[in-house]
Amino acid sequence: MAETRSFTHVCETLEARTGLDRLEVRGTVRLALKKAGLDAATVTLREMGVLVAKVLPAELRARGVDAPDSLCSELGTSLASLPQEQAARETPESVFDRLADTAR
Amino acid sequence: MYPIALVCFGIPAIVSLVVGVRLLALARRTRRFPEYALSAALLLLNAVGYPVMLAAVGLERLGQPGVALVFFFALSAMFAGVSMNYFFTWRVFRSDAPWALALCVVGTWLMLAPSGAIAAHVEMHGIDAGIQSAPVWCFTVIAAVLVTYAWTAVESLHYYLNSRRRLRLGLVEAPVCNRFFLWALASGAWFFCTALAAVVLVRGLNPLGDAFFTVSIGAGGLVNSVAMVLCFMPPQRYLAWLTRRAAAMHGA
Repeated sequence: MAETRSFTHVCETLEARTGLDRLEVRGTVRLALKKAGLDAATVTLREMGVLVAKVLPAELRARGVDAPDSLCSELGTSLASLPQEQAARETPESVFDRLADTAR
Repeated sequence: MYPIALVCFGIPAIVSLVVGVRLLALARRTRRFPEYALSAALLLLNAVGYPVMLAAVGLERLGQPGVALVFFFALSAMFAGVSMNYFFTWRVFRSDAPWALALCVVGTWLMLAPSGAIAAHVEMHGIDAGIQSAPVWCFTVIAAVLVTYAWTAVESLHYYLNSRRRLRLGLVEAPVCNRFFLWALASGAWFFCTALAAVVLVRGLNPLGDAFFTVSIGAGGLVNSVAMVLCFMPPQRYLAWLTRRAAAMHGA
């Protein structure tokens, strides 16, 4: 399945900065995504930023990673410097947001 | 029984008509496929299909010719409308899945192709007896209709459950999250009403003369109507309540 650049970036950074291997990192991030109702194939930069700030620290702590808060803070900063990804397609949220807006 | 039936069938038809017209107006502004598909689904079924079907019944009662032809047009319009529901679900929830597009094509084919056969039976036996004499075609159509409403309800419910998690993180607005639930509820109600119609067909009942059927389908239609109004024409007070509730629950 295709993965977004933000997902790949987070996984590669964690793999380099923690003792977790590739499979463990990807499993951890995918689990965090699932807990947030997100998906590796569609997660946006903004969503990944929120995930890194609010969900990922606890997941990393549970796996014995040192100083997960500062690591995630750095990850958030590096995510912000990534170029915006083109919206692959219209999301269900945007459609359902629009469908009730008949005043536009 | 007929006045009750009129209310039970009338309210959902009027609500669908109003929502369909509003969505069509939205589609003309945005030029987006989902609103075109959904407005076509609602209008072809309620603004075209039902009235033309009533016209076919009226022609038969009056002993006029052309019943089967009018009946065929009514069926075609109704099932073209339901097929738009398939394509709406595909485009909104599974636009990158080839199997979903294949399901849309097969579902549409299974609804439209038997319409001619059913109309031929109506030509030979009249509307009621014609439908009873074509059980295979009727069940093929009903199965295809049930699949689209079940699929829509499942996809929307699945998205609602995911959205609830996003809501906790402030990644989606409470009214949008709630809209997935309402659309699942509306589709579930349509599924329920279609399944009831299948039961009536199996048992050979007169739908307007059976109290259980009339009240049950009325309840399903009422649930569908309330869900549709709250989903696509939500009152400001309802939106404000959803936002307040989300803020209280998640501290947003």
